[in-house]
Amino acid sequence: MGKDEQYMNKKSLQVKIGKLTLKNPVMGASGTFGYGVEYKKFFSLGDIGGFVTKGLSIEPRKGNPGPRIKETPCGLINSIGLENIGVDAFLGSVIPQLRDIDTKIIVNIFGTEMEEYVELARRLNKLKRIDGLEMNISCPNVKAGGAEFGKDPLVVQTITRKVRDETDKALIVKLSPMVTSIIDIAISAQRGGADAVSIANTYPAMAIDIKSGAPFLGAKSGGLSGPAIKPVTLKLVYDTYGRIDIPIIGVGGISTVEDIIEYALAGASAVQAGTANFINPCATPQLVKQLDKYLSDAGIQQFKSLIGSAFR
Amino acid sequence: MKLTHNGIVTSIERIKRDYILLSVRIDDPPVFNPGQFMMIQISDAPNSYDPLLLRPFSIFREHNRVYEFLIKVVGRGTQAIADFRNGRRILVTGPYGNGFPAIVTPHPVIAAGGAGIASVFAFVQQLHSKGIAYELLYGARTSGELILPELMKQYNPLISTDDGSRGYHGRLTGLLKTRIKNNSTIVACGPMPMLKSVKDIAVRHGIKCYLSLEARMACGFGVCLGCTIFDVEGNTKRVCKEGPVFDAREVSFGRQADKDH
Ligand SMILES: Cc1cc2nc3c(=O)[nH]c(=O)nc-3n(C[C@H](O)[C@H](O)[C@H](O)COP(=O)(O)OP(=O)(O)OC[C@H]3O[C@@H](n4cnc5c(N)ncnc54)[C@H](O)[C@@H]3O)c2cc1C
Ligand SMILES: Cc1cc2nc3c(=O)[nH]c(=O)nc-3n(C[C@H](O)[C@H](O)[C@H](O)COP(=O)(O)O)c2cc1C
Ligand code: FES
Repeated sequence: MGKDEQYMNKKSLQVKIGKLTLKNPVMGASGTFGYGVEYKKFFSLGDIGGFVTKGLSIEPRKGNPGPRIKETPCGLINSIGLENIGVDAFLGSVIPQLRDIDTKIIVNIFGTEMEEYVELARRLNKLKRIDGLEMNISCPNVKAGGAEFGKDPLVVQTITRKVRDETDKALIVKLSPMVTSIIDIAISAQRGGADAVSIANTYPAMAIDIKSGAPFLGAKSGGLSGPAIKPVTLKLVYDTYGRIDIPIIGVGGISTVEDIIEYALAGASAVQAGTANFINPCATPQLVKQLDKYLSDAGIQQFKSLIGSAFR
Repeated sequence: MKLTHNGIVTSIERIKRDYILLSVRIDDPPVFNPGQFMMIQISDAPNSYDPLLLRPFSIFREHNRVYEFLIKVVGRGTQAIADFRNGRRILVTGPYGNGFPAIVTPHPVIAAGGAGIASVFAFVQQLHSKGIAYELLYGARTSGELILPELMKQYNPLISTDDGSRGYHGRLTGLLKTRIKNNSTIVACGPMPMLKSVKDIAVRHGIKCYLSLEARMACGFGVCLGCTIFDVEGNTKRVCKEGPVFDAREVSFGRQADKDH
């Protein structure tokens, strides 16, 4: 038996995202996982493949007026408004609490101009404890009259390149789902030097309070997440797989082990669960366990053998 | 301490038309402070995700591993709870939040408006069992809307009704004004307009006051930032984490508060 074969015969949930090796493909999604530390009281963070922090900006942000949450059928519209503690507080008070954690930590970053992303990448690059950066490009670019960074392939390529030049860490670009061509945007991220893309962020959505006759959310509209969006985001992953050479991280409505398998078959190398954490704070470690069992029961040795299998 | 629990519904008691008392047995019972809350699963995920989110309810009472929640039926989720069957297994998370401060002596005055009684009851019970003197003021629109009158009797509530059908005729805050002294501490829970007047009264009399607030919650444990409110200085506070009990001086009753209630 050759060395490769031996390795092939060992059961493994391990996956690679660029230079990052995750012990399993299950991560917590940005904005639903706090700064990670909040989950220490629920389970050992070492059980999951990694997590992505709440989106960080240079300055702290207070976010939108309430209400910020509206439940919809099997979904959730949020208009948090990217409230976060800012990079200084993150470095000063959060990082020390994450030192002894045996999982991959990915910091989600955003800004309202390209320079903010660049500066965040520069400052975070120095930190050993951080394994990767995820760029949230579903934000208005103030200098371009408020158009979302993530909607213009050229802008995506430029901003990714600028951040790439500042960081040696795994660089993930998180795509907006509502774009003319997700493939074009993913290709741009790859050309800009991304190690992976996350597909996708939330879908623009709103609810109207029929009693008052006005939009329900304080910010009028927000982003839809949860099981309701799974089939839609799954298709984006399926459409993009094979069109880029870098791995895809599937994010959208993942709540069960079957959802993870579907995403893997569609082409995702790893996944992030978001809203599911609200329904059960232990969702991510439970998914890891269920995934392990699912593979055993199905006689599948390696999770990664599933990736993109729907095309075969 | 474990914060996720497999609960078993042991009883659902209808109290009046739109209130229920839900009892859930938790085998690994967590300790809690009065004023803390738990999140209750409604859908039977992973088979169904509608309604998706857990709902927050104050711990009303606990006895022999059975946690009771006094719930007003106001929408889909609470209606679904009212339709629960005994023996149903549900995920319960928490206890979350800060709860009421341990020491509010010498003269605690507890003001509960309507369903607000659910959030302050455990606190009243604690004072009562410790033999600490307190006054419980309990208001509703009509005498017919007063919940669990027999149970409340043990705590000697002073009642107010808007229509005068029982006790003090008028708003609870009217009754409150007649009861406070210089050394009182107010603890209040109820609708936002009531809490706003309670704060005004406390400020005018220069006395301590704690308010238990509500907000729409997705997680209950501080990660979603859905329940954030802005305090008087414009700083962010999570109702689920820094609250739900706040020093009234911090609480701002702006546009946001009016809108959600
Ligand atoms: C910390 C905390 C403790 C609470 N304790 C109790 C309690 O002990 N007993 C009790 O009956 N209720 C309590 N509530 C309110 C309770 O959570 C809501 O009434 C419930 O979630 C409504 O669910 P629903 O699906 O029936 O309503 P929905 O169909 O979602 O909405 C119906 C109406 O309920 C109101 N509502 C919805 N969610 C909330 C919320 N999170 N907070 C306030 N109002 C809301 C809105 O005004 C809405 O118009 C508490 C809320 C919080 C935040
Ligand atoms: C309350 C909330 C806050 C979020 N905040 C962020 C954020 O700060 N940055 C980001 O890139 N995505 C954010 N997201 C999007 C999630 O990371 C994820 O892409 C999306 O919710 C879809 O996954 P889900 O259906 O599993 O929740 C947020 C989602 C929710 C529900
Ligand atoms: S309910 Fe999620 S942060 Fe408070």
